[in-house]
Amino acid sequence: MRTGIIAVVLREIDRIRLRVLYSFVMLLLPTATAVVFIAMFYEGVPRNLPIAVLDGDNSALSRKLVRMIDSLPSVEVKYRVNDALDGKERVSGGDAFALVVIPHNFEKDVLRFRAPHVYNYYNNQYLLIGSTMQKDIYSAVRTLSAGISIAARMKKGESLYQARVSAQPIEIQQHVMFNPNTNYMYYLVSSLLPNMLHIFIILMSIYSIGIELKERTIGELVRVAGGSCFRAIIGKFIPYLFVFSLLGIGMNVILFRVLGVPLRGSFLIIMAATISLILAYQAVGVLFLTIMANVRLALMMASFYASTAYTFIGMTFPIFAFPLPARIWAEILPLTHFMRIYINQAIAGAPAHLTLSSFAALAAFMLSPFILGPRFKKIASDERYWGGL
Amino acid sequence: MSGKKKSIARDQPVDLKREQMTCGSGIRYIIDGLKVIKQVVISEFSHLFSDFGILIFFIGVQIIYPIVYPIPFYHQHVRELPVAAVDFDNSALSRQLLRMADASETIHITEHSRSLDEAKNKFYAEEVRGVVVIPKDFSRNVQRGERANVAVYTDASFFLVYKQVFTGFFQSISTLSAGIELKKLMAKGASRQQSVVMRDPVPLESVPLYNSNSGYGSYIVPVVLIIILQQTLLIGLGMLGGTIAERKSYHFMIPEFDNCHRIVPVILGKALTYFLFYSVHVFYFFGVLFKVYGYPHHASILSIYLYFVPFLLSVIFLSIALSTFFRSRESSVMILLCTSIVFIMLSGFAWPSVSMPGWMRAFSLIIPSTSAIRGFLKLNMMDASFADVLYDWGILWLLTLAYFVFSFTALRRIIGKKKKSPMFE
Repeated sequence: MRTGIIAVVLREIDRIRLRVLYSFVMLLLPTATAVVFIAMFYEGVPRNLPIAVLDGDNSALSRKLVRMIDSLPSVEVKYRVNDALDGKERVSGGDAFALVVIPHNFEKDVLRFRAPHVYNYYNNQYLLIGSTMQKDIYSAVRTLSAGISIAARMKKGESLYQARVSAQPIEIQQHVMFNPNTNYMYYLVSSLLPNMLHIFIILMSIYSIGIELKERTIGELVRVAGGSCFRAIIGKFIPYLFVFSLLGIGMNVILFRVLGVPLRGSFLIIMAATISLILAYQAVGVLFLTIMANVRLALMMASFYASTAYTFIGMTFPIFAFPLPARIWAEILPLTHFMRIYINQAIAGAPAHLTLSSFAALAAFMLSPFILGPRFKKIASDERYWGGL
Repeated sequence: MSGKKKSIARDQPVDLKREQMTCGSGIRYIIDGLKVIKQVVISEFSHLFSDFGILIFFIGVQIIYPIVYPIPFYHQHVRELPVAAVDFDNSALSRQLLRMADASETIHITEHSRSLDEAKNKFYAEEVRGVVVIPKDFSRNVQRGERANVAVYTDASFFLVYKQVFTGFFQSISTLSAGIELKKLMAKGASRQQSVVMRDPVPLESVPLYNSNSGYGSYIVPVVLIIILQQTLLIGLGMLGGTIAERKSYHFMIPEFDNCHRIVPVILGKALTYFLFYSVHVFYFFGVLFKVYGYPHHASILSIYLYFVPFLLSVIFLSIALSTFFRSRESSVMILLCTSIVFIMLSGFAWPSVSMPGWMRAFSLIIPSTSAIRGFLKLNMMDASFADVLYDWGILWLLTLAYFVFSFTALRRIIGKKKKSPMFE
């Protein structure tokens, strides 16, 4: 019988073919989740979010304001309500994301310069949506207000330029360095897909080796590898590295080609990061398995590690605002380092040398199982560790 | 208990159909059914407590996750973000602007750079999160009544960071801008009141409803807690089912003490067991932890319970049904772990469901967590009345019914398998 890495690879391919669970986790689930996320984010930024309007004036000016709000791409005036309570129920019932209230005698009061307040009650439970909407409605009302102010000044004899300058003496020139169209679809989806991928990688890594412990075939595995645990693990890794690299290419194609996430840096660096991510999680999987010496317990450890990762990688709430223990936890997730490279190269387009420390961190994860190398050898050779449920 | 199991195991296989006919009817059937429920609850509990690996999913996760998960959001807010200032003007006015920006609670000027490149390098190195540049003739332009510019560099790759930095700059610059104009108008003889109105004849008052302090933890943690309830049931029961299939010990799924193989009382007994377990969790999460974390709790714990009855039942029935399909102890973790985040996204709390395609919105409704999250957020965070959530509650009851039928057919399939299992050979 042949021994060595290639023999292990061939043996592994046979094993993958025989059990449906492998194709489930490596083909069906990644495809299904990718389809869900593509369909979810295909439209891009949220548009036409339903809001309610209470127009207590129903004058030319109030209707103009309602039209201006309705023409905002982010919102759609879907409900017109007659009293505030009705409007509030629309919002608390979840039908509308905001209630805009235009007061009675709005037009008259504006023209008499009594500054009637327009109110925007927005549902802030949906944090991201709430603040986008609030910003847009603010700009619509502000535009109307500035127009009236400029017209009034021109009546008093100011020139258009003067009126404009006095309406806003200091202009803010905004340079949004990264993600200039402030599209949060990009960063939601570009963190969700790698997050899914890392779950599959670490689970498969633990399962593919751990099942040999449970089914008492690990001795045979090491024999096929020619007596070397290192070669056994490398041989085990290769088929999964291949499949997950294909998935990684697929993922990046989906992100940059299908969903239009900007790619301001190098695709090669991103692919290098993707492959490093795969290797890092394969290695961490082995590390967990070595620690627990039991496939199920290692899988549970990985479940905790992987399912909390999305919070700790700081894509939603920034890492620097975490308390120290959470910051440390973020650093021991390969996904955090991958996302740093990803944001740097895809969305930010920042200088490439800034990714070096993240690559170094990923390399450290790849080497992490060597710390417990002797323990792995013991587990692989001592039958007392085998067969545990 | 174990003695009983052994004696049961020695029972002879019986012909199902014939046996079922002699299993009584009417009152007798109901009384027997209740006895079965009681037996199932007892055996399910003892089964659970004898399997540490499973117990982690029903007790351990619920204790550890809610403690670990909110840690990143301990501060709830991102405040005093470091920013750099490049002041080419160096006038009284420009220094006033920088003082105002520094006083804002969202940003804090940590760097005074001499050139834009210097500031940009700090920005790339993530030492600062934004840069404000005041050009050379800033103060002169303002005094001459010409438009003055201030350049603001921000990073929008992180939503919260961008929002805070921009708000900090925007508010301080607007305030300064307004002050300059008010002075001018008042110099022309207008009253303060008139000047304020002249500047902004249509003021907008933006009032955030619910979660009004925009705390990040109170935004995300409730949703995660609901997902934990659902996923631990799905995975935990799946692990039980996988273990049973692996060992072909189907008598744990359809107990031996009922020769009639009545399925309904078995389902009800199992459901009762997990319902009791999860009632404790619901109280711990939303009665205790919410108070500890100081998250808003507008709804009483009773109405939360009432709302969650069909949620827990539908998840339990679905879990019972799915548990019959797993072939090994590890299968449920391998297959279901990745669904948590998908289900969170499907509930539409991070990305609005109105922006999803129709088929996806329809599909999301068959996942109990979708309606559970929506209704819970309305009830507890948005101060809605129970009448406002009747629609979501109705969907959960429909799911309860549908998944009950599903679990019934799934268990009937197991009876067929059980007849073939080694115990009967």
